Amino acid sequence: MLKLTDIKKSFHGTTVIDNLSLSIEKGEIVSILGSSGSGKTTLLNIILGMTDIDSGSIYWEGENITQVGMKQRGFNIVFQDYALFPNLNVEKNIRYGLRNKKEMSTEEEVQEMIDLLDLRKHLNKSISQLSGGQKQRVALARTLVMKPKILLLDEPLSALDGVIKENIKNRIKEIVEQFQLTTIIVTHDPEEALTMSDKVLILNQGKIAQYAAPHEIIHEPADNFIEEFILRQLTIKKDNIFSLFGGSHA
Amino acid sequence: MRKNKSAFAVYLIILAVFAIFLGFPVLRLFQQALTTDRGFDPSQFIEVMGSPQLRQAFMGSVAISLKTSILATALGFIIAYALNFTRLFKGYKRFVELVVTIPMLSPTIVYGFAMIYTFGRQGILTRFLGFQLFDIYSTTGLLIGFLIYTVPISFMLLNNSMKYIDAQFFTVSELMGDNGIKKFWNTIMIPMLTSIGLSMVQTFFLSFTDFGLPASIAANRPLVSGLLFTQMIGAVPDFTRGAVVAIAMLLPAIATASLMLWLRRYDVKYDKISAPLLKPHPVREWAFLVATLIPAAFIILTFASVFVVPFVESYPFNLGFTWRHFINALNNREMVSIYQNSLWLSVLTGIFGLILSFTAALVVRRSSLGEKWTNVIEAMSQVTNAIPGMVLGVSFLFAFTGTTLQNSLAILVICNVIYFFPTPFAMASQTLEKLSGHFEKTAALLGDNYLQTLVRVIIPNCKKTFAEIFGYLFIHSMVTISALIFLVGVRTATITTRISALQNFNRFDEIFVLALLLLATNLIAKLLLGFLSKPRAMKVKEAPVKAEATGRLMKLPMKERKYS
Repeated sequence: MLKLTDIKKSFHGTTVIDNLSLSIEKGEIVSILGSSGSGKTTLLNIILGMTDIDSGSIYWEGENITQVGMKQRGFNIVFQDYALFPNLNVEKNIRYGLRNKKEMSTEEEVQEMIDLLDLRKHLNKSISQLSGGQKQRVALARTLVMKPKILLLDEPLSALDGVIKENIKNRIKEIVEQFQLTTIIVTHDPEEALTMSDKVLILNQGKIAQYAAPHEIIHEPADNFIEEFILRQLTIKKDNIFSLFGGSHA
Repeated sequence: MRKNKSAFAVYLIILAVFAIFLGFPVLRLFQQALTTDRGFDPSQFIEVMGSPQLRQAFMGSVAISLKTSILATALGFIIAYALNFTRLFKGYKRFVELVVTIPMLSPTIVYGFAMIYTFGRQGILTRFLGFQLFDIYSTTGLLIGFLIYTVPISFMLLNNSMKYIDAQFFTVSELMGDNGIKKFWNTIMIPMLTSIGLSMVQTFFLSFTDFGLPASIAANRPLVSGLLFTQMIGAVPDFTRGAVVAIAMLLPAIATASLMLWLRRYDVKYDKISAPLLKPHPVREWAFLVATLIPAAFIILTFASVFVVPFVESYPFNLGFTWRHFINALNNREMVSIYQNSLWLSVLTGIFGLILSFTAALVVRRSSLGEKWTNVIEAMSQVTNAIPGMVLGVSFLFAFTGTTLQNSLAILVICNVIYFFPTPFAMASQTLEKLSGHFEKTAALLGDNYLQTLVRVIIPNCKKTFAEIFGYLFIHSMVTISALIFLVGVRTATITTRISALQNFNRFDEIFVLALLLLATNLIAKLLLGFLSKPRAMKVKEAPVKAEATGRLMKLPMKERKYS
């Protein structure tokens, strides 16, 4: 279990994360949802170990890891821009971390991951030859062969569109379930958060507005902010679709 | 934290390099100008600054530089327009682009001699036509020389901006019912205004600070660069007066550099080349064919003498073909050693300049040091940018005379590395900025230490830029003269400084052999580096050079910068 207690972080006098506490169970998918400046990326960086906190504690499976550095925590991330190395082909990107830590995955496990993410036919391609969805899968494979204790995904679907987006969404869910991997997703899209996660953490100005399962957020929004800024977006989307095609949604 | 400490250590080393090789020499220059044996004494500074000699030279330089800047920008604009907004044959466009950039591979001092041999009284063209087109020793001659020097730079700058003009502007303007002039103004002139301004300031700076052309065809014309040379190396050298003249040269250079910096703020950034759909227009095509053919022909004619004179017995008296001059040059141990000096200087400048500029760019763009630290390096780059080569050379002379650096190849390399720093720094910065900001973090999470990431990821993705930076430094070191003219010793003479010296003995055959050797070396280097950087070029989105080029007067890729 990942446990954060009384986390505080400010930049140049501005509080970005304000007394935040939360727990994430092992194998759970949690989305951090919020508008720009709500503190969601800062929280992601704090969990990853990239950003130091001003006060509070972070525990992983009961052990205090607040002072443990990013590399030692054993968590890993897929960044929004994937950060694939353009000088290496797909296969070399996937195996990059194994050059440093061979013991992390066996050859069979690597091959399994390549097949699971449907990357076999792309192994010799250069990164520039890949589509957005393929890049996303390569970045996922590269991270997963390192068997992270927690998988962090920074806006994983924002650069994708349409069918590819749905495809990747399902693929991520499948993998996470198969590997029982604790996963934290940062997103600004309520639809993404509510459809992908076991729990959704909604941030508003560095504080938790609501942390609950998706159905609870839909049916029992904690306050006006959730209703106005989160659920309203979904209603507008739904209304637009119905008005276009003349249906009713009462 | 450890990474931050290492970055800070590297940062301090870079600062130390600039403190020793930029701050200290410039301070020595001011000290020389403002002190006497009795201490601070500005009387001579005030006297020289107010002297009619300096005033006349200053005004002469300003006048010719202003004319050059207006004409070079107009010509650069016309050529860039012809390449981007006409339906002239593609092969012809490539030919024009190639010809227009040829002068950048040669030092300005060579243009002067080439002009004498083409347009002079006994010049190739004069003999062919039967009359002299213009007096090369007149203002017109000097102006044409400066145009040959600056039009390529203006053209490169404007062409780089013009090809990124958004083609949708034309559609919108058409739909809004604009007439021809309005359309031209709204779609081309407005987006180009900053670049035009930049071109004017840049060409002004280049002609104001150039030494090569005044040295070859305007020896008796009062210009600041000539005056500085006379004060320092003339029959009666006066270092204090020289220092004051150098400061006088520095002031407009700082002003133009600041103006450029200010203008760059208004640069619009586009990220893709945009080709407009052009309807056939025979009048336009013919007009631009003529307008581009004239400058191209002028350049070809000027450089023709560089290719002809070394191969004739004794121009213009005996035009028989001969290899004699080349064989003599190659058998002359002194000439070979001069060529070797130039090669060594250029290779070492390339290597050390690449290391310094790339390391500085790494610290500025990829480390977690705060802006308050990294801005110092940016500021140093801008300060270096504003210092003319001759002024830096004089400052080095004051600072390092009597040290082990005096008359060494090392002082020439260091001077060049500092002098050329801003452009390679900007090139490295541009490339490093385009790499994902998450490379280092991702690689660290995959088990890399910083050095491993640098070797495995960062450097391989900058190979093309490495080749470009090295090429830029190599070619510019081969052609530079102004920064070195005060620093070379008997054993460290380079091709350009030797050319300058040979004119005093009228040894033009040797001058042209050296010029051709230099041109050929630069061409080979350019082709070789172009070839080496091509196959593994990183697929990054091309960004407009003009947009990214911040600060340095000539913060442009290797093709665009030129010193003499």
